[in-house]
Amino acid sequence: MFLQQLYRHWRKMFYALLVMALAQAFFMYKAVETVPFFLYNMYSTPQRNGDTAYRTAIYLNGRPFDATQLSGHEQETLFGSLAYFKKLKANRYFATDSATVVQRLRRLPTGLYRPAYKRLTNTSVSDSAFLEWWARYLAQVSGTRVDSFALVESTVLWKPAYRVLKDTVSLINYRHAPADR
Amino acid sequence: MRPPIVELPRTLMARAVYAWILFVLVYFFAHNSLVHQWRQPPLIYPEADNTYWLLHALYIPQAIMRSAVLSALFDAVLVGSVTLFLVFPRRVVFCALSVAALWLYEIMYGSANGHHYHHVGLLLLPLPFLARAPMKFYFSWSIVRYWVLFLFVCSGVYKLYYGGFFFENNMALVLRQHALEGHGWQSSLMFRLIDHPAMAQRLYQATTILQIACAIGFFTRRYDTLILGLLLLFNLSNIFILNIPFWDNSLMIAPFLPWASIRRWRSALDRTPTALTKK
Repeated sequence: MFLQQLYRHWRKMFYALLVMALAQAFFMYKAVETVPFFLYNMYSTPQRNGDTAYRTAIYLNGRPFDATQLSGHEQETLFGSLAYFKKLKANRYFATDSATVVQRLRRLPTGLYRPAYKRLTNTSVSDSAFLEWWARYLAQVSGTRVDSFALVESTVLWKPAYRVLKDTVSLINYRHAPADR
Repeated sequence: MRPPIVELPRTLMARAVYAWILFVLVYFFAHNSLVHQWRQPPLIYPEADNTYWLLHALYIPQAIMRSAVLSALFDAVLVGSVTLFLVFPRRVVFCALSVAALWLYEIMYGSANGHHYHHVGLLLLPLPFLARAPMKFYFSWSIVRYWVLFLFVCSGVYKLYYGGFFFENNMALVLRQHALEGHGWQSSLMFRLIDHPAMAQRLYQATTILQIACAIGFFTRRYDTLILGLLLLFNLSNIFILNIPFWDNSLMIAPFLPWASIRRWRSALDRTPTALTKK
């Protein structure tokens, strides 16, 4: 058996593996992923999204921009960060809810707690900081200078048939502010 | 009977795996996904992951991501260490540097994108090369092989445990999140499956069984070629059906390639000219 062989030939690694296995079991039990103890459970729960969804259209310098031409990675960065930004904004820019930070770090001395708390949250981030970055990355992936962009969220209906409504659920407008000369 | 400890062609494997990693990094570069190409994102996403917390509390990912100079320097170290180990596979220091850079890259990628991705192949496969002695390398490579198997089997078991397997419209609802508008065949396939949730769910269930079937690899290496085929099938289905990039995770198949046979073929080839010369 592999473990017997490992024990016989490389005892330190055997014990290291044992500790890793216990840690993996612990994090699986707690259902908290802690790299490198991955929890490979994506799409394992029953999906509860209804028949209504939302889609974001990008208008770059006043013209529609086809985001489907971007690669999966570029879309992940643009839309993943945008979804996170919207969620954060609704939660006053806390990356993880403040109760968890307090609960986990409460034993730290104040001198360490304060900087750690600040570094784990996004309290110093503002709308303009995020949108200016988004414009920079959009310029990077589109190869176009971004003077302005608009993000229009519309409703998508799946039943009785797939249909994108021409409504505006939310709107983000950004215009590049030229630097003072 | 105990399985024998096989001497693996470490140098060849190091070159193959690191050439593969370098290719993936070039692919990331082509898709604006290296750290300096993110253009200094302001948001962080440590979620509840303790490792993310530790690194973010130490201000390491933020310092790199938010600085044009440091992010460029980081990418240079990442690509440079991978290239150097590819050229000098006996220099473990380059491997250690590349491992640290790849793991840090993964954490920054998850933090900047607002979702913790699992580029597991990229993270696990370089680890065995930290060992230089043949015996230690064999065991390390085997552990990574078991690790990949464990993740796949877990993924299948989670689908049963959390109930996705039994929820009739599950796959169709997953597909709705990935639906690609357009007129291409991939878009047609996605919409066809969304319109036929029972068919989509059979695919989901087949995938679950396929993942759990990987457990056979815990008991024997005899079916590694089959597992290789199953993992390839799984990853290719992910591209075609869910539009999930393939190259990010492609390295996961490497532990199931017939490295020991490749070594034997190479040895046989090396011996042939000698035999001819003697005659």
